[in-house]
Amino acid sequence: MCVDYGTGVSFVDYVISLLPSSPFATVFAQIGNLPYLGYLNWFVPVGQILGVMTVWLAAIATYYLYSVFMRWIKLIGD
Amino acid sequence: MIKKSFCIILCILVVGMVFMPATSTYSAAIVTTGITGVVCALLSYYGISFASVGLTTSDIDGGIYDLLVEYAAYVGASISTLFPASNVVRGAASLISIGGTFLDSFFEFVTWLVYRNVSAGGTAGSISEGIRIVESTQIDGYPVMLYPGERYQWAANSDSPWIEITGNSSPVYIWWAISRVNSNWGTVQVYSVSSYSWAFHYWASNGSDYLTGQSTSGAYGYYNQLGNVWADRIMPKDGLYINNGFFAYDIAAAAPTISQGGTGLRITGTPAIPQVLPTDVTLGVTGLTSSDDTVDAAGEYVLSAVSSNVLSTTTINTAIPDGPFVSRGLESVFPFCIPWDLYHMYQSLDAQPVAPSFSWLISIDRLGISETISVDFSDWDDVAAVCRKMELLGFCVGLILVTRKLIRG
Repeated sequence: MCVDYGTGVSFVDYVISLLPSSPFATVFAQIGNLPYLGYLNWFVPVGQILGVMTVWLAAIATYYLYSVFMRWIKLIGD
Repeated sequence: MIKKSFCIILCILVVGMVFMPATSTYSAAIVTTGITGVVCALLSYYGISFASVGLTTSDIDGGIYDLLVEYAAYVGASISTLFPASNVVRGAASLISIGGTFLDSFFEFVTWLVYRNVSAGGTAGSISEGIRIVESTQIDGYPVMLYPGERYQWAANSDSPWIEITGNSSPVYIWWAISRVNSNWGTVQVYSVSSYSWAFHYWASNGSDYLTGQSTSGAYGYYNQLGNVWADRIMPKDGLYINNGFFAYDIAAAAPTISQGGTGLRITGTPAIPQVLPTDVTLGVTGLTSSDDTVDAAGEYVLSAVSSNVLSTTTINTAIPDGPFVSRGLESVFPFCIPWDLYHMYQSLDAQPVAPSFSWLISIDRLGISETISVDFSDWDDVAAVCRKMELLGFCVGLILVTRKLIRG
């Protein structure tokens, strides 16, 4: 398989490069090094909650996409 | 108002999800695939953990740490988010264990890096032909890397008290790495031997040869001339690993005999070189030339920057993007990063559950009291597991209620 993104992607990449970087990324990266996170996870299933939340977000996003589409074709009201 | 805000965030999420695959890819500068790193990755794939990874220096040497960094860059994450529960740092004295679903992806990535080094029409036995990963019959079926033609790669661990190499051919190149248990990598030496009958032992802590006591100051090895027959044993000290190494010999001469004492990854018999490539890995990367490759001071292969090459085809893993690579993805720029920031925020809090265990020393000298109170929650592991499940169920119920509110408006 050979994929050539071409100049379109280059332009998108240029536009993206104008945007500021995430202001939170470094903060979250440091949180991962905190001690006693294992203790927290002993009480709260953070990983599993994260997994459920991810799936839930995807489901909600899909629902809203569908709702936008259905409103667009006047299948449902506003 | 809340619904509108949420819709905006979701739109950002959806737009990001749509555009990210097209723009978020791996931007590599110089990628070094060190023998150490690749062998460690291979053996890690088969469940072997290593006491330490990388070098203590700040130089990028292509060790497994560097590969992990490269992999993290490839998947758009950081080391700390990939391994929130692991102490993965350069030269770490901690145990690194690679496993889970991450492993397959990481292994494919390493394979891809290795096979990028392959160019069509490369010279057999040279860098241009690249590194091949083969199934070894000498090491209990473990895959090892072979340099096609003349060179033989071995891998071993601390269970192996010695490695013996004998033969009528002159070694032309010897390389190995050692590491101490629960410590950093030890001496990594590269030898280029221009004459026959060199032999090398490990260094004692005082700088002398471990076996003979002869000073090795200012020298890289110890002469052991045995006429036309070359033979030596590589002897690790107690508590040292021979993680891997290779030597090269004259292709026109008979292959030497390699044997290894002890248990563990045994190397016995005469290596059959070249061996057959496994059928599930296909060479298909073209467009690279031998001039793209160099060897660094440690004798490790340094791959050129991705941007300077165009990978026209690959049959190794079509899931890995081909074509020119761009540097940034939407997931890392504001405001499209917000959903991923939210995800990373929770991900950074994820860790392996560890039962809290505390000890308090209560000392009242005036009353002569000195007692230590220890609290260990591990006795309640089963209860905690049930509680976590209940919390998860409660979270799901909460999500259902929130979903109902969101949809109904």
